[in-house]
Amino acid sequence: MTKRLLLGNDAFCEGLIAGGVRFYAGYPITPATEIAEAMSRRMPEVGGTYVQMEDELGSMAAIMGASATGVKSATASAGPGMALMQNELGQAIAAEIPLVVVNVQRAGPGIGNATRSGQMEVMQSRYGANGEVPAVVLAPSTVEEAFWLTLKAVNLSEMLRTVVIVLGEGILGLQRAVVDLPDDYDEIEVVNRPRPSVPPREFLGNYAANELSEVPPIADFGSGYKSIVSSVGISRRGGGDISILGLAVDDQDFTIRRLHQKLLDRKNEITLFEQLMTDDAEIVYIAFGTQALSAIGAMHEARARGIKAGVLRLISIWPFPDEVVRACCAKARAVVVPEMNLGQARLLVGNALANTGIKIVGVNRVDSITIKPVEILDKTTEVLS
Amino acid sequence: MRTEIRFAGVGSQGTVSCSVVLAEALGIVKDYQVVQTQEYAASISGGSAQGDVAFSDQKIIVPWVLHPDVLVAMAQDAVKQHAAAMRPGTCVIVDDIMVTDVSSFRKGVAIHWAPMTKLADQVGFRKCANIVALGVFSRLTGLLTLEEITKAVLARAPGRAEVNIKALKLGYDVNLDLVAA
Amino acid sequence: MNLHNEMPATRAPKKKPDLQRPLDELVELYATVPDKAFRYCPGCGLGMAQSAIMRAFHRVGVDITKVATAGGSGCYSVMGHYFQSSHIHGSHGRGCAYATGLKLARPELTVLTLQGDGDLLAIGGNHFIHAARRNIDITVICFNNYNFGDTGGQFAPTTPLGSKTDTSSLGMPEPAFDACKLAIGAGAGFVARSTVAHPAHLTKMIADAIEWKGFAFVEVLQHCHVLWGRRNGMPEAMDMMRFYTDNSVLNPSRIPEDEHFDIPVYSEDEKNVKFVLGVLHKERKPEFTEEYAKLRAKAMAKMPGKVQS
Repeated sequence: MTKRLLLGNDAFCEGLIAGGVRFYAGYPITPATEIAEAMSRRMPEVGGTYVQMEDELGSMAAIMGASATGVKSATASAGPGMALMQNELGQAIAAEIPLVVVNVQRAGPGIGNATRSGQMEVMQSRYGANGEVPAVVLAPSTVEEAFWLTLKAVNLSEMLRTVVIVLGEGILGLQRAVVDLPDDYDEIEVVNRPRPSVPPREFLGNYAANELSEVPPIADFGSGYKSIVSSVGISRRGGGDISILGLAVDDQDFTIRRLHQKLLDRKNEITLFEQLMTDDAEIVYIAFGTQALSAIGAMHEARARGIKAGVLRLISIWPFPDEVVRACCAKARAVVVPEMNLGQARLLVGNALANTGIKIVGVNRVDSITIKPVEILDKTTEVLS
Repeated sequence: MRTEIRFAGVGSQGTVSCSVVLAEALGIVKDYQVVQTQEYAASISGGSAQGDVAFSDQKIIVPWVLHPDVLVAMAQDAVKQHAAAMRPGTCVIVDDIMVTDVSSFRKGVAIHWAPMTKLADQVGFRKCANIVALGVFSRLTGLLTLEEITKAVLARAPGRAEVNIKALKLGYDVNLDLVAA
Repeated sequence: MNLHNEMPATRAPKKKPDLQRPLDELVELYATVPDKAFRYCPGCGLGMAQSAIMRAFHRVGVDITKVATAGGSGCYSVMGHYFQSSHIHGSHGRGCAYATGLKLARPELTVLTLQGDGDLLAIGGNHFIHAARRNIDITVICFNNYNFGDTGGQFAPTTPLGSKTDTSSLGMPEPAFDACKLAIGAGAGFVARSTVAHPAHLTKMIADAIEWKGFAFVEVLQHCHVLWGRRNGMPEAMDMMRFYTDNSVLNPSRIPEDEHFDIPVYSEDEKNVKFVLGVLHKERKPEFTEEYAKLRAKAMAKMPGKVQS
């Protein structure tokens, strides 16, 4: 372990590399550009490949191609770039290709405000793509966590055969902090996707499954197996056949439900959170990403003033940890959700706490100015009075 | 104890680089807990730009700078933008040719005029005014010795070492009391 | 329809060893026959194009397990499922981008994209020109049927001026792309055109394209008598086959390397469309995956002992 001053965007890169990513396709976009810049240097150094594509659609498609050959692959983007990626994102989740996408969120709709930060893509991460696909989303708060969580994202993507989104923020990507990271990534344990254990002749294809919770094996292109990667039309019964009418309806039902169930059955392995002083908390601050740090600052201030405050920092956002929210709010009278959007996480918290009678309010900013602990405290006084 | 530093100016003056070097000096050379953040306008050159450093001997929770203890202002626009955030008892270092009006600061803010751009011109490279500023800052705050800040500059900006060392030393040797008088 | 009666081996011209080989045997070696039926319309040119691709595989001698194909949406989109090779059946237009990832990650694979004219030249145009510019060693096969067949026959970037489609019932008002010229302009090293009415020629073009080191493009004129033909006076498959044979001009000379054919690749006078078939362009230039391998070797040499596989 060596101490170094590391840029948040570089921490994402190192996390990807430590997780075994050896293919990166990207397109420059503020505030995620540093990831592409660093990957263009780091990928060839570690024996991997960097390619700069013609647009974000191309980036996603290229990493899908690379991952289909068995090489762990990733990309990063922001704002409108993420909007463009939704097409291939849904495609890759449905085709069950392991990938990691880092979204260094900028602020605002449309082209937005490139150099400013926001937390406006909580819902897009889950509901952005067409056709009822699930999502696994992790949101780091600090530079050090950006490294470990991105590494975890690579492992989850392989374990679950899905796309994992690391929901960063401009203010995190462009932040430097002193971190202590491992020098030798070889000593880090990494997870690899399930691969077929039967000979090619007996392989029923990448989507052969009997149970809704199954993550079926996937064959690398060029490994001797006939490997078909597709989001539609592949029968789970194998044979790699596509019928004249596409999938039978029961096959379609099974396939879509399995995409969700395979995640839900492993929710314990996905869910990550930090709870601080929630045991006796009358008021709980629920936040994610960088704004959770303000919530922690506010909690210390509140406790100093004799208010029983606690914090639930959501580290994994999707699948949304309803049970954790309920458990942390067992004694709560009110919940404050500070976030740099107009209440996306608040909606989810409200859903988790439905019919509990707990008052739920937000502290929301969309001007890219970070929420100050004092704003959360003011809201605390307001809801408790 | 938590201390907050802000370098502000216009794009291409190197204020973000200043904050990165200072973070390196405090975090790696001096072993403090450090977080550096930055903000800049979309135009790389000319828009407003700032580099912030928060450091402490304990874990830093809130990473961003709210009320700087020290502000280094390299341009009049920076004064305009950040004067309100400065509380009485804090300290400001302003460039004595790029800044002309400091009336917007509250009473009780100590203002130090420093010839950062002038000294950079003396070295023959105006763009190293930010390095001069680091020298001035280190001496004035007593946070870093000349050796310590030099180590950080060389680690973060290995190019143009000779010019930078010269600029740092000139900045470090400025007698601010004399300038103020 | 099925492959067996589409092009019986007995009809293949003699003295062409790869065409004499019975189709059954090629199917055994390279194809996966679907349980139910092929998804092509009866008489569709895609089956003929597929036969030509299998013959080209055989001619080149590829190991089918080392072949990867990619494609998006369109009538052709099922073709990748019918080979024994691996295939990405992805979203509309991204074939060249999938192929770029496949080839860069595993340069030892033989990578082809199977794409329609709408898929490649409309929604996927950007990926196409940039893959050509990079000169990455993939073979792009474009099945040009003059319209969007899978959605019921709307005009595509290739629909000839004045011809009728679902969305140009009064005649196509926009000029068409010449896909080969576009490929040449974008930097493709190997560009060829053929039709499904010239099976031996088509096989040769595809085989040469697969063997070419660098970006190779083959435009396959493949009839859609059901949609485009019916609306433009050629309602039967044979009408359109005749349309191709009557209007095609074979590139008269073998063109040497690093030169390109100097007669227009696609000419149109007031009455007649003329297709110039053959290799239209050949130009050797550095290939992307090879160049990247050199760059990688340099970068890795700078980082001794730091490499994780």
